[in-house]
Amino acid sequence: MRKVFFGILFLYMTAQFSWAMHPNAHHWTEKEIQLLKSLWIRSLGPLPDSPSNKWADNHEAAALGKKLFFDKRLSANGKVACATCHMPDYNFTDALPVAHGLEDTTRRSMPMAGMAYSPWLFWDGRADSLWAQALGPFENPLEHGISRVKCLYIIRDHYRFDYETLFGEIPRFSEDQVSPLARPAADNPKVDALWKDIPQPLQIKINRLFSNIGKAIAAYGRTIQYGPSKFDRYVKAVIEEKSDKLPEIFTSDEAVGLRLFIGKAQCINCHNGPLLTNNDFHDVGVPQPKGFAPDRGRAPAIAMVRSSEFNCLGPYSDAKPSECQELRFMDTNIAKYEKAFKTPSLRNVGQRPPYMHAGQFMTLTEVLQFYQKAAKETRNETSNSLEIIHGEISDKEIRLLETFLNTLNGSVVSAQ
Amino acid sequence: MKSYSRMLALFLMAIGSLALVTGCQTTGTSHHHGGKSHLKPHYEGSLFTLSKNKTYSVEMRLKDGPLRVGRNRADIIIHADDQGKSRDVEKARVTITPWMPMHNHGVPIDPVVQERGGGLYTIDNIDAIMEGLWELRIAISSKYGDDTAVFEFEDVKKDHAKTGHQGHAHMDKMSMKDGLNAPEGTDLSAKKMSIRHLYSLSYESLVSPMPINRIHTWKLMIKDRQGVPVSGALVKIDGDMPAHGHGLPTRPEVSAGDKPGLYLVEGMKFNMPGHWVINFYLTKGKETDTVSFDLEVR
Repeated sequence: MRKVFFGILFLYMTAQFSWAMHPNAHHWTEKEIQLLKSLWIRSLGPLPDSPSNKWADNHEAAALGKKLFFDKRLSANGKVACATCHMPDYNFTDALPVAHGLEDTTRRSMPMAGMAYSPWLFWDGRADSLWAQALGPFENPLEHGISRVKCLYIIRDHYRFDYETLFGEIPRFSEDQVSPLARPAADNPKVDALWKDIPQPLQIKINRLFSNIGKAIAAYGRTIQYGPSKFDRYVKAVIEEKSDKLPEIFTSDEAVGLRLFIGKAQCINCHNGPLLTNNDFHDVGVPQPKGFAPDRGRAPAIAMVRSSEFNCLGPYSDAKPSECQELRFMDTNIAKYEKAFKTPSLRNVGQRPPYMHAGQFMTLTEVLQFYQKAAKETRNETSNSLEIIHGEISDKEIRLLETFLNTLNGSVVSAQ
Repeated sequence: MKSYSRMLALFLMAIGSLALVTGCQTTGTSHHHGGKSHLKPHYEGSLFTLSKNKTYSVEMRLKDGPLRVGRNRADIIIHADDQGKSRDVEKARVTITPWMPMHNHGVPIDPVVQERGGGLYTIDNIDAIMEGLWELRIAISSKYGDDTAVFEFEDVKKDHAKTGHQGHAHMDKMSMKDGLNAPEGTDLSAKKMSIRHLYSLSYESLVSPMPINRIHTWKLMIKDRQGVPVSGALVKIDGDMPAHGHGLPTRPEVSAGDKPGLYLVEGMKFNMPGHWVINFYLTKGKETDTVSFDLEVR
């Protein structure tokens, strides 16, 4: 009996002690409430327009796009679909350090939810729309490994009705006339020559069809969104001043972790807004995995997106030039973007390891420890990681931050 | 806390004035240039030197205080003597090489030079990678000829408060917990006189309140000291988040509006709430001037 009594007393004391550690865990100043509201999923607003894709909000286009997204025939070995690396039950990414299509690539698959809000796609932002992004992997020899001409044949053979209902007639020619290998290819002179043999008017028609494939997939991709998380319920209660509800939603550890996130640890510098990303590119100094070539990130991608025939100002875009503001006002300071990668969203981050642009870390703890160490080195000026301005974070605070990050986990919804 | 940060500021200022003095002394030039008109500095407390063959005068204003370990920014103004008349040097090829003469090495990252018009050039990414004696070696090539100038900095120190992307992070760790607010006493008005008091500028966002993560346009009104609208000025812009050290996520452009003195600033974008600084660089005829607006985006 005595044992039980002391047991209960001990538990009670521990609970009291933990509360005493964070006496005001759920008290937020006016300024902090503003910040919390800025991170709330309801601050996200409606999907932004996609002027370069006039089928962006077309349901039939999204339905076709969804079929294409899961179609493994759109690959050289018949085994790779978009969904191979963007798995719906794994936050539309995969569990591998780097994406694996036909072979290993050099970067991690990006989670797709909420991407319609991002002005730049891919880790380096070399595409300026979801539809332009969707086209990249098809012709990458490490991913789908097929050509735009082969895509046309697959559409012709399997999606003729769906496609022609939406986009009009598929150009008529046969494999004897145009090689299914033909594509513009800096990496492969042979297939590049096959592409150059195609008369230009026909090239344009092929490109048009290829871009329409991207636009259908983008119409589906736009529907992939984050649902609310425990964090969002907490913010809602904060805004509605239901202070008695707060401890029911967040433990004090979670609240203290949140306070670190928006305060001392300065995570919010880059992970801000309702998707917890500033959509910009930063060099945080993560080393390349062993055996990987250096990766310059955003720096070379600036020229790529600017010269891409599939950009907002290109011939396959449906936008007026005045609607291509992001491209027009893109920051072209290459030195600034050397080795810089896109800030990822932190929504659902706990559900989808590994982390960083080449899956360098397997757990959130490792990521946070990396920032802890890098921040220390930056303070001591022994590191070149110029962009890490996190505060001095203790091991305990890392645990609290991780606890908070897991409150950002929620559902992912997409068009059925 | 506050008194500590004040002390820190005083200390930095003291170091700053010291560096200005050494900068001039060690370059062997002085502010009393006499005679020729192109030998006059524009800014108080700026560094000033003549190029080796006296083709150019070069005035340098370090934007983040004294040169420090880490990334620094500067404005330089280049003038040439053209038969006794001072001329703004435009369309010059300007390269800046940070150099450690005692160690005989430079830096891995080249500074980025951008011409702003009227002889003004801005330099980003001056990356002093260690403490010690540094030179900023400047090579200028224009229709007036090729020449070089050197600014020397005897004792470049670490500044733990400085870090960040473009080096323009004057992060005061004491006051900067969330970066949401400008330092106390900051003038947040949307109407200001330019540094040389040549113009008065006022801005207004066409989208109100100032949006976050959305490209939008500002209206900018420029008037002279008498209140007369100034049209036909060449206006360049950049911006910064002083507490965080990242610049604007876009590269906005300024063009003439449809009324005298009115300009449109397109491509403005703030990607986080907090204290931002927006700089306008004006050139009208031979005159150049600058104005910095502090604003808090919510």
